[in-house]
Amino acid sequence: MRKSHTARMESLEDVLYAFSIAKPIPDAELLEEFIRRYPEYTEYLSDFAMEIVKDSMIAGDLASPDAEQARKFQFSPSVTRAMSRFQNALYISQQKEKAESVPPPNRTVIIENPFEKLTRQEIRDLSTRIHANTTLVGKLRDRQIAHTTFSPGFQQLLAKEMKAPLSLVAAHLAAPPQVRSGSQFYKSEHKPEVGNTQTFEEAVKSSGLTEEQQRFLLSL
Amino acid sequence: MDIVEQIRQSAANLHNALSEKGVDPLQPLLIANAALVHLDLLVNWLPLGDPALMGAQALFDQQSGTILCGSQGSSGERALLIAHEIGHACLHAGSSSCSEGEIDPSRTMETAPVGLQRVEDYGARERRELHANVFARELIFPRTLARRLYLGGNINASEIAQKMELPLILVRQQLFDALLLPPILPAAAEEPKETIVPRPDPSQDRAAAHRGSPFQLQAGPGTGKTRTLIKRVLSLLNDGIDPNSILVLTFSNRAAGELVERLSLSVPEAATRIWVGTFHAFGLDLVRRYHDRLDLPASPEIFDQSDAVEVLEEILPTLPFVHYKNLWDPALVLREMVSAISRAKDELADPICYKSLAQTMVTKAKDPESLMAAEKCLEVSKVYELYERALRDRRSVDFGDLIMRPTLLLESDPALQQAVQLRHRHVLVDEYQDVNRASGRLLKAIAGNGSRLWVVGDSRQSIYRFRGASSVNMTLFPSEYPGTNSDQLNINYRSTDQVVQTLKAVAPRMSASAGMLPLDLTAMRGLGPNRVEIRKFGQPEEETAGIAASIEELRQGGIPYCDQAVLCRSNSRMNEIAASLEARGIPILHFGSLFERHEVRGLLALLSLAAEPFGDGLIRVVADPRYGVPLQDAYLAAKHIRDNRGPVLRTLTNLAEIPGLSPDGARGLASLAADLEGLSTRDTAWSFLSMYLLERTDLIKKLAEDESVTGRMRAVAVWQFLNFLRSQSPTGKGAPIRHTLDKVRQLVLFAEERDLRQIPAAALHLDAVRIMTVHGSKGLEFEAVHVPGLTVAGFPLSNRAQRCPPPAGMVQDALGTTVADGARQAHDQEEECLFFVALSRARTHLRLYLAQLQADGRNRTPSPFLGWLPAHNCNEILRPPIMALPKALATETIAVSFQATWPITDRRLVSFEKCPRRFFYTHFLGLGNARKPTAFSQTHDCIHELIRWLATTRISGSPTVEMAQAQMDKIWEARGPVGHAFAQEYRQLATAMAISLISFGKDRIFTKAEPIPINFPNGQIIVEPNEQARMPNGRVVLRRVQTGRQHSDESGRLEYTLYHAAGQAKFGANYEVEAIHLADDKTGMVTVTQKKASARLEKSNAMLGRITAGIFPADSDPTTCPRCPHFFICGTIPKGSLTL
Repeated sequence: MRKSHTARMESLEDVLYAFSIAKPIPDAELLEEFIRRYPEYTEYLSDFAMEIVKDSMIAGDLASPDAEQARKFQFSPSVTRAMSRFQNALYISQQKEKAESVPPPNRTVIIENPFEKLTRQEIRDLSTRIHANTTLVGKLRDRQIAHTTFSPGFQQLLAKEMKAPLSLVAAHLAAPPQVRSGSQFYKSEHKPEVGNTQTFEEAVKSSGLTEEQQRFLLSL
Repeated sequence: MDIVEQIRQSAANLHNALSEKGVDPLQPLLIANAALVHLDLLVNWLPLGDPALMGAQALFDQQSGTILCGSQGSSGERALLIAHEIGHACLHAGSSSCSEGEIDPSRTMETAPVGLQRVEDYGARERRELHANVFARELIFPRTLARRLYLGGNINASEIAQKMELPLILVRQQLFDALLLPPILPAAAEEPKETIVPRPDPSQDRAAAHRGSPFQLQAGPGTGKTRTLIKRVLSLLNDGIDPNSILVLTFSNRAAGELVERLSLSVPEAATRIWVGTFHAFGLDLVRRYHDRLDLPASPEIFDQSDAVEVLEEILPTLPFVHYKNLWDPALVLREMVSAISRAKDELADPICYKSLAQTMVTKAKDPESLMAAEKCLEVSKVYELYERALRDRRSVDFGDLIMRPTLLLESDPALQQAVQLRHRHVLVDEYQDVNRASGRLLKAIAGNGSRLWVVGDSRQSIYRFRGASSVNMTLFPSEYPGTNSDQLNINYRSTDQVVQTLKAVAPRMSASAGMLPLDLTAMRGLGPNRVEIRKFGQPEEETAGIAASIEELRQGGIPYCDQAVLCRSNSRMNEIAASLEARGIPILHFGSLFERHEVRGLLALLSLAAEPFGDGLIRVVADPRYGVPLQDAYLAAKHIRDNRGPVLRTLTNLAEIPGLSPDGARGLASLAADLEGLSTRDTAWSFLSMYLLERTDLIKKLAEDESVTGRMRAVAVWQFLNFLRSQSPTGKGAPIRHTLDKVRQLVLFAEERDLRQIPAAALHLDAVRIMTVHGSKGLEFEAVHVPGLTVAGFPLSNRAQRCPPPAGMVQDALGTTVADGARQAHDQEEECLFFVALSRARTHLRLYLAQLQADGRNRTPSPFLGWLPAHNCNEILRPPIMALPKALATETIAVSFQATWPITDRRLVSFEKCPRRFFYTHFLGLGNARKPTAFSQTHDCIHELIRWLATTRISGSPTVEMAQAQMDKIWEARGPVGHAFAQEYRQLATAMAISLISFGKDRIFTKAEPIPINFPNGQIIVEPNEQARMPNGRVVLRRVQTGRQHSDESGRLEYTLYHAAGQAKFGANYEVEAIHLADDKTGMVTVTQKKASARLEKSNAMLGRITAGIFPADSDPTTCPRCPHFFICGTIPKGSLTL
């Protein structure tokens, strides 16, 4: 249904940056325009816009007479704060990248989830090949296992069976947990719980795997 | 067949396929697992709280085809969990994740449209869960299986639940669905409706494609308004618009539900992300989102009208009533107040604003009349202020708040407004003509400059004046949103050319057309077989007989009953027509007042028997053929219960032992005791009745086996009633059944019960004529439409003055120059719109009816609307056929013998005058007086006791104010609402009345008031004056003391004629009759003209005759009945005679 209006692949950082400097406080017109231009970043843009407005609510920028002054400086204080948080996160991840040679979390969110394109049969086949079940594969896909608890052997097996570079698989596993696309939460009272993670060992033990599967996976 | 039924059938088909393969249908987990294999799905049971469950109880992962469930519950419950997720897998796009609250396959598929259910529900997500629940229930325990087991297997609900390890509540609900709702015949389900060949409709396409500025679409009837709205949504999605940013607002759950269904079919994935719902539901969502900003809990309690009245009742003595004082029946005044407050909220007028408007009125008042109007408004403003304080103390909201509070919050907080605007960037509004001030301002706050706002409406169908909707809002839209583009749809897909031409002729005459584009419609269906008909009759009964004939004539011409509808302007006329059609054997789809239906009353009587102090329901319950207890025995049993106070359900076991019972009576009472053994009043009304109906008696079987349409409707009414009971939360104070009974009375009293008259979707396919009000018909269409009552006061209805008119200036953009004038003009406009709505429901046959004579033979003026119809398009039929009644109904008589020791007093006769049936229950059977004590009623009882004390004490001396106060102290200690939060205020009230009573007795010498007999040809009446005294001039005065207010027609009351007759009989010309009213502190002599007196005396004689003949019909009245002690038992009386 959705058409892509852009052939360019601009990075998320660039798009969010452009968005944040377009107006002191984003409004619906601006958001619409950016979403039209970058439909692939719809969710990020909406969240970012809300974030700026929420921040300005706390600071009272929108209601304050200083709004005019803020405009002179091009950025409102809330945009500055939002941008600054963004930059900090970027910096930390870049430091980590240097140290661990693993892509940073907020970059990985832009990287495609390597599980996302698998068909039902492919995902089932994958779970068989790694001696697991679809539940454990789901936990890997949704990053519900703390990435520091994977054994290198398991990561290698996974990368091999997914026919994907180890760095990509590792980057995926290291990103924060996320709600899968395709869930349908939209009203205030229905929010999925994310962030609840397990160690690899806990995940292996609690996902309904056979004794034999568990033994194999924990031995890697 | 509606979508719920389709889902049920697909689940049932799956169940049948599996059981045909050999899976045991009575083993739910086997069925669920076999279904998984059949559908190539996997299941995995995980510990609760496992991250994979993401906080849900169960979820379906679309990508891997896996169902994950929290590991808990019996095998049956586990089967239901799986089945619920299979429901999502089979019915919906994408994955699903369901919380414990959402997975409840016992949930009824239709919510009772009262209370909170009116606001919630119908979001896409809620509907998905509802569908999955329905699917689960039907897959595990399909209706056919339920029916087979229950009717054929001699096994009851508990045994089924135990055997299949299913929750009892689910088994019961499914049995009710299977046994009470009419089965859908596959043939009827498949029957195709006349298909409309879609042809290009540029007006729809233009509207859907509009971009870049505010857009107002004027959509006349039948032009495909909803279709265009859907097209618009699809076109937005097609442009790549984020579905999360689309907000579709409607005014009714019905409209919202229809939109969600249609969107789910066209764009299943996106549909769940689009916010579709009513303004109130959206307001509730905002209240929940920003509850902390509103100083409310995350899910505040929502008060409906009866809850609001309850709040006011609690703070009653603090309310500064002067003009609106009604001590006898404060609830009625409070109801008016609540409506006035609700109207104020429609206009976003808070208590401060209300007060300042009222004060301005006081300042400007030039004459006593306008001063009184101003003071009344001031009084309402004070009540409003106290009510708001009470609401805030309870941290609750009412319906009006759901719009007003978020609107004011957004308007006061630009940042919040910005956030909401960012989230809801594309706003579509259906039925824009129903926008009132508050919803209009909420919309403005969300839509900003309106550049992406799209609204559709028809000012000519604006029929919700009572909640402030005004067609003016359609006219003002362009000025509210500069740069607006207006357009209209101009192909009518519904009606024949004759009907469309009629609409086009009527439209320009309507005041709601002002400022709108001229109605430009083309009938896609072209010319139909008939012109519009106007059928004229003599008296009103002929009109109803003529409607019956007309329906039958069309039916013989090939229009089945179910494609015909009678649309009435008023509820009372609707009930008369329904009764008339039923009497003539025409099947009708019409509940009338649900709680007053025979079969529902029977169940209410049972609840009353169980939960009310004296178990008055017994009289009606034992009249059922199942028990067949004769009247005399029922009388003895009721008396026994009264004499042996104690929990009624426990007393029942002794009833069969009462001396003097007939064998039939003893048998019936023993059988009743056995049926109710072990049932408890601590149960909810629903589970009490479920047990009684499904496990103790064969009443449900009997209902299920009656296949006539009338029989089916009885069953559906019971279903509807049970469905209502299920929606009652058991959180109220005291015994839940008692609470439910109180709620029923309130719903009827406040006319909120009308929402329950809506026929459940599962019964709509019955071949029966729909009978509804014009209001209820909005959005529907019928092959043939019959509109009765086209007389000058019938349609349009006459304007009635408002009890609590708003202060001047509150209703913005009001019509007229004064409040009253504005209200009248708005009324007239709404009547025109109702007429337009009624006409435009017709597809092919449109017939209007009127009686040209009144019941007394005088002429009736036809409706002015008839003059608007184009003569060339209408046939006037002067002597239309009528259908005679098969046989006249015999008057029901009850033979009662009573001795002279049982006198007919003036009080009893007055009671007979008000309602003969009430008289029978109260005075002959001795029922009633078991009302729930409130602080107010206790105060009232104290005052009455003081009146009695005073009447006696005054004979021997002259009690002073101090003595009266001391006596009141004593009475108060024993009977007053001591300890109540407002005891002090109540006490002040009682004291004030005591002082009045004493002061009204000054200069009188009181003597004993002896009963005075008056003889009539048909018997004797004993007049018992409240007080008798001698005045300084020597004349005797017979005094009637009332705690209430003096009515404008006080002297017209029968009581005073009887007092006068008694005075004359005993004192010749040397007497007076005095009326004392404590509530308004008034006293005065009452005279009755000779003419009036002789008419009243003649009437008294006639009433005596009816009492002797045993004629006690009920005199139904929508305000008196729900407050009558016999409300739950009225109607059926045991057979046989009564000897007192």
